[in-house]
Amino acid sequence: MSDNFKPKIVAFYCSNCASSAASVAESMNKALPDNVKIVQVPCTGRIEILHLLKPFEEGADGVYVAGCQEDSCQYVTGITKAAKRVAYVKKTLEQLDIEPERINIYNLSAGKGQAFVDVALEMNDIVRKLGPVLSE
Amino acid sequence: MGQDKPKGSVMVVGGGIAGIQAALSLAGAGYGVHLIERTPSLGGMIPNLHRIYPLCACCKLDPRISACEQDPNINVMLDSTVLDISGDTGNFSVTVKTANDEKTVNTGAIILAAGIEPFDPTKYDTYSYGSHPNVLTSVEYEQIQRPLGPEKGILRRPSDGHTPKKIAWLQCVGSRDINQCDAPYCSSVCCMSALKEAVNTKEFDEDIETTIFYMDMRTHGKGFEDYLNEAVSRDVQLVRSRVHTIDPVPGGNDLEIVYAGEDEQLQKETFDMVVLSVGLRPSGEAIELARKIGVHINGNQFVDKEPFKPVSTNIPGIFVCGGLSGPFDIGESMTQAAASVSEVAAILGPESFSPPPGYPKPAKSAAKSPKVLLAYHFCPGMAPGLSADLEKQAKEIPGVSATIRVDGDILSSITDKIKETDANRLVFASCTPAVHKNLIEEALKLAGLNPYLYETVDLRAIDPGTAEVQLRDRIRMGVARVALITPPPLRQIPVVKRALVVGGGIAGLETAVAISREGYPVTLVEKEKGLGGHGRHVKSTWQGYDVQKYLKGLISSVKKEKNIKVMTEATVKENKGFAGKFVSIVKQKGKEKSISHGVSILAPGGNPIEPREYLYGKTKNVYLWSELSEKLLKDPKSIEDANAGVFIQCVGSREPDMPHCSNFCCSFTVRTAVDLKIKNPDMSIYVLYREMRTYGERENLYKEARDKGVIFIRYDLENKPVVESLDNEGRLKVTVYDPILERPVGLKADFVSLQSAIVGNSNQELADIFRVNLDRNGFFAESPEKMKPVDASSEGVYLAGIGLYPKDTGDSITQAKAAAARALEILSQDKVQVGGMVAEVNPEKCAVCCTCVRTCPFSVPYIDHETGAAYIDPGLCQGCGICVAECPAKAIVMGTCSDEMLIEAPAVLFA
Repeated sequence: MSDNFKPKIVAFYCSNCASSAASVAESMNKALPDNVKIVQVPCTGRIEILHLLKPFEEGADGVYVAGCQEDSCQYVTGITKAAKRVAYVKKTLEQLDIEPERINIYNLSAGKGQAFVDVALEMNDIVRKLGPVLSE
Repeated sequence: MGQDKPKGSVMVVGGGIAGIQAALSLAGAGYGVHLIERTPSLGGMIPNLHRIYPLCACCKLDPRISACEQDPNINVMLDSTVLDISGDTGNFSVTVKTANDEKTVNTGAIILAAGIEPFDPTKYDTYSYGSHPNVLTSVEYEQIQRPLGPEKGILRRPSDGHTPKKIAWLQCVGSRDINQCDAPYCSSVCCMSALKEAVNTKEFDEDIETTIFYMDMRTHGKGFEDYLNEAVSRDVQLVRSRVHTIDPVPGGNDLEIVYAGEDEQLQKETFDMVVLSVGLRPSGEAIELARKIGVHINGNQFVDKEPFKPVSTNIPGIFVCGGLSGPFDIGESMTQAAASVSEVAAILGPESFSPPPGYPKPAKSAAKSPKVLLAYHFCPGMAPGLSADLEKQAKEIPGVSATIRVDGDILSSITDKIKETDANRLVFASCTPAVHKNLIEEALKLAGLNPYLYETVDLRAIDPGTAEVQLRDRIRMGVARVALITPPPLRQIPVVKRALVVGGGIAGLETAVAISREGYPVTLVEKEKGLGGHGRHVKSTWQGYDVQKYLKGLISSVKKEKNIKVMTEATVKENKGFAGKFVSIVKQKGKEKSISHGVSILAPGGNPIEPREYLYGKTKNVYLWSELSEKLLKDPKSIEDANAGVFIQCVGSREPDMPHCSNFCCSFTVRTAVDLKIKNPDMSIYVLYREMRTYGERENLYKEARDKGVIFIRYDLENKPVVESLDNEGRLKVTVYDPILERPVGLKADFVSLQSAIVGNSNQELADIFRVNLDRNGFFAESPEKMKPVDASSEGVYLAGIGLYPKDTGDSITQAKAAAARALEILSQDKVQVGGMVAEVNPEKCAVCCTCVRTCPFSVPYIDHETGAAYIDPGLCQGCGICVAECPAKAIVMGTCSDEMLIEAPAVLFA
């Protein structure tokens, strides 16, 4: 892929652990890349399949969900439900001939605040290697 | 409800953080408050500091100051000093000297809250302070570090303006010293502030070498040891030593420190700058006043108080909190401030200056087209160009009708601006919007809007190189979302006037007493058969007060109090609800009972862990410290007659598996050692320690132990002591490497006491049931809003005692009283507001499929057979939105995070 490809990425962040993680990231002077656009939700369990597919329709090259650790979700099952939906969307993308790696889910925690930014960079790398959606 | 109590206003003397907190809580409880401050502004010490551990929390002071200034029930008197006080409870007469005249103020009770003054190190002629510009006090150094201070946070050394390469900190300047400064006590806060200053120096420039010269590293508070470990991992150097002199290096601006290391050899090292960690002194004028009116002052020149009455002076009706009564940190001072409010309530009924503020009736803002006010707040240290970028972006985003940068008094700036611009929605951008939520909602209410018509924009983790794009995206998102909010319906729910206290130890009992004496019923749940918790094994406080006698009195007053329902052998199984209206299921002897209550107080206590070393459990005469304490209560002779005893500190504590410091084990040991030496002066007592953490006034006891001949030997983690059994009689031998003699020493002992780490009782279980967070050491986490030391992370849940962090009897009592005061703030209200960020069922669309009933993690929805649809109680709903996502009929909506918002989001972001 061309080196100057800058993917469009939409990230759904839960407002609990992700917010505490952001504090830690900020104190470590870590910044999000500008092509990762954030949508905040009270809990990742609020996110529906349609919400995850919509960004692709609008031209996103990648989507990810960043929520709590499975065992410490403030809303108990929110992150588990989100993981199921992400898994479902992966299958849908495959059926549409879109690489399932373009959607992912990550577990953050305040203790590992740097991950707030690190997962964005990781996703950026993955999507950059894949190139734009439907580039053929 | 205490009909025989006199009524009156309260005077708070001292406008530092403790005084401010006391004034606000009192006003909240319905009292008129006279807040007297000597200087021209409120705030005390904190405005001089750069960051307060653990995070920047200075932004928490300004809103409190402005709240004091605006509250019609707080009469702030600046530039004023109290000359004299006469009278008694309910009827004090206070002579106040203001800037222009002298007047008499009548008041019902008085809280002395004038705090501390930093020690002036000029009198140490060997430290070159005052004569060399590069020797500073810690307070002066923090002034330089403050981004809003005179140096704008740019670290330069005073003599030549160069960035320093090597900075030294000297601990205990004006503390633990009776030769030159008459302060035998430890100032308790300076180890943490030196670590904080060193770490912040590293943040400024990683290459600056930072070295702290200290005697004992006292990081005894909650989370402090973690901070110490973090500082060490960031290459902050720690040198255990005594500093001899600081001398200017001839022909330059550098300074040479001459010190004696642990091997007592003199060594020299050159630094660019030296920071003197100066000790704390109680405010001189305030101590003079206290003395004049007959308040007892102790040998350390602090206001004297008993551990069982931690905020009372010897004069009824006059209370004390914060630095005037000992070297305390901010958290402790605030806890004491809250505790003193609970003590005032016990003796005085509230009399206000004016009725509580009313809110204008919310306008029907949804009908109008959205007019958005963009308010933003910058924390010190945020990129300076951000403001201009933000203003520029705001102009280009359609829908933003006005912008305002808020600072200091955020509440009224926003309220006024909304009214002025006729805005009907708010977007609030700041570094941590979560901490401003209450303020934003209050501002919207005061402006006559629905308090949920706002969105927050997080300004963290922005790349300065692409700030413009990131700001544009984030603000555009906020503006688009706020326009889509449907104002959620709000309801007023009556407060259930009962408290549930979990834990029947000292903390739980004291909380129950403090709440019940205000006329509110309390249910106290204890899992064991008897009351008293760990307190039953404690012989005395570190000051030497008899705990058993006190505890007996406390338990009998709890049993006598009709308002307290004690449930022993009982545990809480389930809790639902919200501040003002909780329901708990309590299981007692196989039966389950449902209890409604308005507040919850968690005081489950803690226990020392069972050691897995030092022959514990394998041979007799090796005791866990709680066992030794019990033995001293039941069979004291067996210990007192021993020829020799060894105390080992930090057992299983401050090690990688359990990094926290258990806070009061050092004080326990020196107290016990001193008591044993008094009974049997011939007994040889050895204390094997890693750091001696007899912080604060406990230091006097450490000195007393040394004077009485107790021998203290330091050991390292790499060189732990070894306990051997000598014979079948139970004689023991302890071998320890002595760093001063530089060789192992063998100690014969008749008993060994192991001071092991303290951990919470069932903290995880209770955290799950009450939906509150724990910290990384497994203790209850404080509210993320900060500066709320006894609030849990969920509203209406308060914390006291060891479950929050290991602490001694006196500190547990203080917290208990503080937790009670916070609980009373809710119990004294008649109604709480519910609704807002919650899910709502549209009964017409509901197909009664029960998906929501099955998926809700909190079992809130149920089928209401009258409407034939699911119902979600807005008071119980936690607002996660899981049911909204799951509902196959799309019958559940969440106005503050709607489908529309999430579906439109990508289009807004890619526009």
